[in-house]
Amino acid sequence: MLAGTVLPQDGFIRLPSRRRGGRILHAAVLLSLIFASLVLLVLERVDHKWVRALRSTSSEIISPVLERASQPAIYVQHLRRRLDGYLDQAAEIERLKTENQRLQQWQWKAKQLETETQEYRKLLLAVDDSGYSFATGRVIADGRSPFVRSALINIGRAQGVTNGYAVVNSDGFVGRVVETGEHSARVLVFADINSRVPVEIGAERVRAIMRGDGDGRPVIEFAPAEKAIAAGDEVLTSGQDGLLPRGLPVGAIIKADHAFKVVPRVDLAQVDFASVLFYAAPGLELANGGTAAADGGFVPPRTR
Amino acid sequence: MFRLANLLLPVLVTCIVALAACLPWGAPAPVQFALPLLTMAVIFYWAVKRRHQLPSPVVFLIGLFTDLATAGPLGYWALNFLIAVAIASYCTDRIDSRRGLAATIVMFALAVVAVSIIGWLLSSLFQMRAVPAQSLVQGALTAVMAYPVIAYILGPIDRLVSYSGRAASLRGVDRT
Repeated sequence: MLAGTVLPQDGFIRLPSRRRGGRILHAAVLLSLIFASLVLLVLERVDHKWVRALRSTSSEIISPVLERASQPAIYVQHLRRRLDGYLDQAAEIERLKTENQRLQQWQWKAKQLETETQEYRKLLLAVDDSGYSFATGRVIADGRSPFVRSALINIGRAQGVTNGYAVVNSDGFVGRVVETGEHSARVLVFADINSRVPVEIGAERVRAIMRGDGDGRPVIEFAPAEKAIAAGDEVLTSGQDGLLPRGLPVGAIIKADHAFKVVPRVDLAQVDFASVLFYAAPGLELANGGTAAADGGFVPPRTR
Repeated sequence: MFRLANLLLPVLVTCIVALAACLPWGAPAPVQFALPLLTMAVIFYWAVKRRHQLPSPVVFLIGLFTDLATAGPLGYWALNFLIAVAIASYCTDRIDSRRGLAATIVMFALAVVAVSIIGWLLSSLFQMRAVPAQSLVQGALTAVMAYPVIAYILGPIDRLVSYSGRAASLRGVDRT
């Protein structure tokens, strides 16, 4: 056996890494790469054009890979949900029965209100702003770090998606599109630390700003009448920024740490499908140079 | 063939884990936060066991991939993964690796703490305010608890592929 060799548990001889030159080279490469990472972070902070170019190029390459790779993840999600469903099926049926009864009453009430609203609209000659068209895509990657909470969906410019469009799922508001590729788009989840959404709260429709704090419980800020807000109040988008449609359900108010926070209606960890609303907002048209769907050029598909 | 598999094992396993860490598993928040740290755990494992077969440039590229796939700041996970490699290299040069898993877990915990502090500082600098650290702490704890499981899974795979590669090499039948 060679002198100075180490015989570890797996029984194979490995030469000790005492080659000084090799170690110095390893350290030098490591330090250079750490420096390169720091340079990239600085370039990211100043939003350098190289970083933007790299992101847009790479999203086109990475998104097909992620789309294929996400199949097992989605299967696991569905499997877990099905398993959860089986486990408390009896309780779920009871709950659904009660909910169905309650919803039937609401349906009746909603129909009444709809007729009433239509009559008022006619009287006021108001423009009908309901019935957005939308495209639905699948979440193919989930980004969660101290910096960002975002999701990558598999629809993009080819399907008419533009930066700024609101994203919802069956439970309510999810976020907005911040980056668009040809066949993919990045959605900034409203719980993200960079997210600010104008909202209205409760029956009083108190207007405020909802600020993401990264941990899934966004904080209510700049509410002019805090006394009018109470735990349990519903939170909806107010559309005051001219970017988002009004009235998208966001969540409910809770009071925690001497502040009003929002418990999202959408389970942000479980979003597997998301719909992009083609909402022709005036703010969006300005931001995108008049290329939003409102210019009448592009008629997006109803569903995908 | 076996020798090639043996050589590429660390890179392949790390790439697969890095890809899986970006997928939407629908896991609860602490687990979701810990997913990139699991990639770091795998990198750490190979940096301790087979430092030369997981070169730093590959670690850097895997970090960049994680940054791009998770839409985080470019260079963040690359930096974290390289710090993990640096800590692993520093510790393995000075600590007797035969002390086993316990020593490695302590080293990994050290790396996770360092990375979490750096992550918190960087994100606070990016946002120009102190960001909540609760999710980071939960993610770090989950990653440290997951390390023995990762070592338990990767250990036999490592030994099996090493053994096959070594046996093929000794027989001289595999010249790949």
